[in-house]
Amino acid sequence: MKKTIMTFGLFGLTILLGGCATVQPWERDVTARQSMQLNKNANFTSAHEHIYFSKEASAGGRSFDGGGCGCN
Amino acid sequence: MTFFLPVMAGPKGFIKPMHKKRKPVSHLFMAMNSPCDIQVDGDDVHLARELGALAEAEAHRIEAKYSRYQENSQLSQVNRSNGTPVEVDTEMMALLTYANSCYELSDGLFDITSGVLRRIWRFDGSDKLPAEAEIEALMPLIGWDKVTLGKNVVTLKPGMEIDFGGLGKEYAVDRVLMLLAEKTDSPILVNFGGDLRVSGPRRDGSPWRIAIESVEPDDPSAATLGIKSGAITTSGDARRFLLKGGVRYSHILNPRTGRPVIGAPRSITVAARTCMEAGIISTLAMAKGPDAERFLRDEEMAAWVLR
Amino acid sequence: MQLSKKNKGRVGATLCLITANLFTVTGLHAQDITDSTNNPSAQDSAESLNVYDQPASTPGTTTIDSAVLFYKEDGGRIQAIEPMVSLTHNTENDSVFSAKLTFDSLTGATPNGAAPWKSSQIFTSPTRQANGDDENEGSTGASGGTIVIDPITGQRTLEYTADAFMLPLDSGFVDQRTALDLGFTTPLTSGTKLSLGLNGSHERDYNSFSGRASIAQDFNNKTTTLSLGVNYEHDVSKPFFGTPTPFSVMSGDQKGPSQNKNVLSLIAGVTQVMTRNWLLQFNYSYGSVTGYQTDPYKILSVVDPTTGAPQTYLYESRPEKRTRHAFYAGSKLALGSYVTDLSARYYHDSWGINSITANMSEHIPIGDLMYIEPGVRYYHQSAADFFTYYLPSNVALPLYASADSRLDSFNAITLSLSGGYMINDQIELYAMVDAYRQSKAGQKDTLPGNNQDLKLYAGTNALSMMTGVKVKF
Repeated sequence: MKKTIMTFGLFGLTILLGGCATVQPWERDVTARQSMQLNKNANFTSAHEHIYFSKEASAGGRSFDGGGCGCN
Repeated sequence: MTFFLPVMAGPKGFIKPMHKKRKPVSHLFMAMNSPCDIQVDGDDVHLARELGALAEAEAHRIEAKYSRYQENSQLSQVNRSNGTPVEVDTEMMALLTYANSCYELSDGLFDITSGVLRRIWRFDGSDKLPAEAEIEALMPLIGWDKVTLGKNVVTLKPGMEIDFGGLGKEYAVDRVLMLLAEKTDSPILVNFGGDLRVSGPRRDGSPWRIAIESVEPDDPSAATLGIKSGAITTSGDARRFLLKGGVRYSHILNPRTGRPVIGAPRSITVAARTCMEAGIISTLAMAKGPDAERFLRDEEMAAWVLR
Repeated sequence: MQLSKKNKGRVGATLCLITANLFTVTGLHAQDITDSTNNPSAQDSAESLNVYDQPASTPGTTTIDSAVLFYKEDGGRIQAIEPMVSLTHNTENDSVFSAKLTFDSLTGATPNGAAPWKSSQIFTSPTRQANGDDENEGSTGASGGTIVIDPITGQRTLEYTADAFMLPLDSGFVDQRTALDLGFTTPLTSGTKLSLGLNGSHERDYNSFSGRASIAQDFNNKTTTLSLGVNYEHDVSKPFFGTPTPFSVMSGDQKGPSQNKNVLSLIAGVTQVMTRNWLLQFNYSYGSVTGYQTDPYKILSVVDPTTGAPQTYLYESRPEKRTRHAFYAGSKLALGSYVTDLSARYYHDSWGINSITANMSEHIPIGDLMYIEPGVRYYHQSAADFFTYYLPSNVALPLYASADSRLDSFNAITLSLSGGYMINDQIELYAMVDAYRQSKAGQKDTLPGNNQDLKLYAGTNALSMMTGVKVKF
């Protein structure tokens, strides 16, 4: 039941966001920049996730919540 | 002298592209009395050819509809109406409404009914100015406020004419670019006789290099502009003017006086998001004469002004 | 570069609107821009001023990215050196192959879970064998470990001592980890991307294997991307002395066989391009962990209910099932060449832990070739339901209990500074430094009796540094 609501939530959001999409295909120059990438420096990201996974109880959100190590 | 408005200066010696530059595939044709060039930055020559054909068809469609030189154009029907209301389609209506907004926005400096002045003003570099009486005779035929716009109906006063000269080519460039960008993700450049727009940076992220004669005619090394997005248009033509008694009359006419704008720059190149916006802004800046630079600065436009 | 721009001129702003309207009416692109902030400004139309404004994707290139992470906790706790190297190949047709090798070397001390006491305490080292060749592998003189031989059985046990009033730390902690990750991403059809990956990690006492698959689909002129992913992980815990029975008494005896843990993770996300320079991302991740999740090295003090004196030490016990939910929202907004990155996460799991995380950083261009990015992160978590600092001897044992500080309630602040510098069109140098500080959140518990001066909270502060180089050819 919870999952169903979640799925609806996501699609609802998509439709909502799609409705206000004002960016045309030829206007993606800014979002294509290196500085705008969601994972700009993969090693920074993995170092942070690794450290926080080994020191804190939470996991996931930005990516999968597996840890891949015996550090927690 | 060249007046250079700031912030467009790109750093020199910027990171070079990763690979040898692959040349975009170019498709050339003539439309609207201008050489037209469609460049597709991709390896698919077949697709580029297809897009070129599509662009050519759209340019000719727009020309056939809005040219005042073609007798069968929708515009010619309007211009021949002699005071009777003419029904026009949605696109034409949208363009007329647009022209109306530009007229209001510019306090009458942008007026698509001013084309009749070209009958008496011939900018051939000579000193032949029209007679005062000739100008006065034409003035009743000029003025957008004399045009009535209804729902899909336009009514001109007898003898009046509409000229899409300041809009049509820019509209065509924007239309064609949007049309092609829907068909491909490859970067595209649409250039109709110097009025141009790009879909985004080149494949390798570099800007499109565009030679613009009027930007820096004395310095060939500075004669190219880099453009990564948006549009560029140029108003003014260094070769079209009249010279009498030491006064240089530019080919930009003020619709309110029926006379050329005095003190206008030789040319103005404007960068904006769309070709239409760039075109209107550069035309308006021209019409401001000596105040062109101030107008552009107030509008915070990227522009090159050549005096 | 002008950052704060005045409102554009009257004419330009109005033109932008009527032009958008024109193209709407004439049927092409019903959704043309009506947002005047997207009006091109000089810096958008002109060449970008900083290298990091270049597009990220570079088809037909291969990148070698290598870096070293140094990690050091205060007070002689864990130190780690983690070199990593990755190879990424972007093909001409937008496929990406990647491989990453990480090596992790840890030394130092880690809290063993026991509560501090007013006199010294002796513990059995669980982390290594005290006999034969392994002797010099982990134990060092500094750790103060002593080999104790049982006169009857002849069994050798390594013991270590925690000083009076000090948080008991197992100081002989040594581990090495090698991990390999393989990834492959390919476009399936226009607007659909499939990603597959494998990950293996090996430690002397722990192995982890996982496989993942995800699919991303673009909508709305590629301004919306929906993604769904699944990851399955299988872990094997094989401590040197075996896995202890929950709540058994600490000893140097050989214990149970290796134990397994399986993690099924699902993630669903949407990335939305809001305007030309604004990106939003929303994710939901779900994790179901089953199997052995107890830390085989962690113990709990059983204390006298009136004096607080330790009576014995028991191995901890955790549930075999844990369900995680995390909601993540991120935003990236570009203003000129600056980018503001904001993100937030809410996390809840079936062990009763709730956490919030907030992150903010600012990408600041420096000259043409460099950027720096200061950032701050705030984290707060509540304690697990079964978290406790000790077990009173007069109370029956609960089903589960752990004194692991990672399950305690705490706040953590990270201040970070990172940056990158493009030496030329192929080589980027980058570095990062993070200061991480944990502090107890909520009520500070104490041992029974007059023991307010004994600090039970075992959180840590750490400094990490990373430096790396990325070469593209």
